[in-house]
Formats: sequence, C-alpha cells, structure tokens
Amino acid sequence: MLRRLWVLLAAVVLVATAATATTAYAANITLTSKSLLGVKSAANALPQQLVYDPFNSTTTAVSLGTPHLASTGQPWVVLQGALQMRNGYLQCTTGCATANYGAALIDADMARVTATVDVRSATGSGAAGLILNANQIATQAYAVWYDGGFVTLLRYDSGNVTYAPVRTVAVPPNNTDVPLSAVFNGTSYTVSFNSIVVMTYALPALDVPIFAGNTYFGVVIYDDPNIVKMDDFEVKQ
Amino acid sequence: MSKRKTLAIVSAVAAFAAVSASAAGLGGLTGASLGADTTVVASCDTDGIAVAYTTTYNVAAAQYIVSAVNLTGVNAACNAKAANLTLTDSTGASIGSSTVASLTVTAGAASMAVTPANVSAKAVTGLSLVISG
Repeated sequence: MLRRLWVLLAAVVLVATAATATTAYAANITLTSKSLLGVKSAANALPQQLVYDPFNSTTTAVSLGTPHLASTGQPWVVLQGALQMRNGYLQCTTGCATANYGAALIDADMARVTATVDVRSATGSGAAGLILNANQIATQAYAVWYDGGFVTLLRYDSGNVTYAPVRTVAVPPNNTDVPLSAVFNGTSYTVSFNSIVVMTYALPALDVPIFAGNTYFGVVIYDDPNIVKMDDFEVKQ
Repeated sequence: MSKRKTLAIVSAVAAFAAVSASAAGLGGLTGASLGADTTVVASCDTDGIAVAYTTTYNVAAAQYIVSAVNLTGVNAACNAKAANLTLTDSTGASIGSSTVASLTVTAGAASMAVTPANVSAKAVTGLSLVISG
C-alpha cells in the first residue's frame, strides 16, 4: 500500500511540474485572457524603397552632400567632384574629367537591392553610372553607361580593378532620360539599360565576402561641364 | 525501479510533452482564432491582421530604425483591449516591444509605438502580437 502511494505521489508531482511549466510558457501570451490573438511575421522591417533622391532643386544649384539629404533621409557622401543639383538633375560642375570621375555614396542599409538612376547626355559624350556595394573606403562595384553606346561593369578593390565584358547598347537621343539599373542578389549583378538586360556578372567566389555585405550605393559621373546629367536615384529591396 | 513506478513517470513525461507541443504551436500562429487544451480562447479578430512598420533612417546610427508597428484589418471587437507586441530577431530573441493598456482601433487600423528607440529595422525577422482583455 505504501509503495502504491509513493508511485502515485511521484506521478502527481511530475504532472504538476509539467502543468506549472506549461502555465509559465503560456503566461507569456496571456492565455487566461478573454480574447487573444497571435500573429507571426517573417519579413524584415525595412521599407521597400530604401533610398530615393529626385535631385530636385530650383535653377539655383544646390550641392550634393551636407546639408542635402535624400528624400528617404540619408546624407550623401561626396567622394570626388563638385556635384550639384540644378533644374531637377544632378550634374558635375568641376572635377569630373581627365582622370577623375565625380562620385557620391549613400547608405541603403541593405546589400541585396536594386539600384536605378536615370542618365542622359546633351552631346553624345561622357559617362554616368551607379556605384554598387561600396564600403566608403576602397571597395566598390560600378555599372557605367558610356554614351558612345556601351555599358560595362567593373569591380574595384584596394586598387585592383576587374572589368566585366563590355556590352553594346543603342544610343538614346540626346537629352533623353534613360534608366540604368543593377540588381545584386548576393553573388551576381544583373545590369539593365533602358529596361533591357544587358549583362549578368557573377562575382568570383573570393569577391563575394568582399562585396556582399556592403550597403553603400551611389552615382558616378564623368565629363565637364554639365554634359551628362542624372535623375531619380533609387535603391529598393 | 518497479514497473508501476516506471509507467507513472512515462505517463507524466508524456503529459508534459503533449502540453508542451500545444504551447509551442501557439507561438507559430498566423492569426485567426485560438484554442488551448480544454479551454477555448476566443479571438477578437478571426481573419488575420496585416502588419506594417514605420521606419526612419537614423543618420547617427547609419541604419533604419523601427519607431512603430501599424496594424490594419483589425476587427472592431479588438478596440479598447490590451495589446502586447514583441519584435524578434533571427535567433528569436526579443529586440523591441510595445504594450498598450487600451488599443485604439479606428477604421480597422491601429498603431503601436516601439521601444527602445533604436530597434534596427533589418534585424526584425519576427513579430508576435497578443490582444487580450
């Protein structure tokens, strides 16, 4: 009889322990309430549009960089050249010719994105493009349109440059906005010009860890004075 | 150990496992109604609630910050009920929360401010919400 009581007591203690543990877990979501609802989401909380700058300004030129912010709130970091917004476009006033490209970066807070900018040329000379997955120091990828009629992609890391094959594209009429975009999926870039895919470039395996975590994107522009212009820079998920 | 004692322990463990499985299921709810064991708990919203976030790019932190969670498709029956919200990261750890004693539901929408003020938007991978009262 005494042995049976011990067995029963052991079972009661174990069940009571289980019930206590369950109640403690359930208490986190207020199971004792009269009404209850649970929701679970797996998406990140970043906005769909991470960066947007229409480069709007009056006829008075406004310099890119401090204190100008993108519409989404980020400041630009101008690396080189006198980049200015005028009449609704971004242009380079000085310092974007000879051996130098004008360049500016902005943080998208995410690396796997689609970056787009409208490019246009007044005379059929010059170049403009996107800076991709930069780290502000010495690592950037570029997707560049040369208005002679081709697009290329290059990666730059600590002085070493690798070029992807050059792709020929149709030359748009002068003073026409044409979108240039690049999609980065973590291992490769897909570049489009005028809404047509012109290349897909897979990063070498050694490059993936170098570029894949960089969240800075931006614009690059070549030619003085004010021949090539850019509009509506956007980075989105 | 006697056969009967072993049986009792196995039964108790089985009971614990069954209840734990039920509790684990609660964490994976995607909306609708909910019941737990023998106690049926009615939900104030049975067709799901859509979730969106209010984010702001914080220049000093150099990242997007979540300042609020916005709920839409909320049934009017949830109005004035207490609400508790938790944001979690990829490990399931809590990285932000919001508690309101009386949820204001207007035209099916409600907003809950998130604390602390520096929750990284890209770190948020999960959200759980309890409306009770």
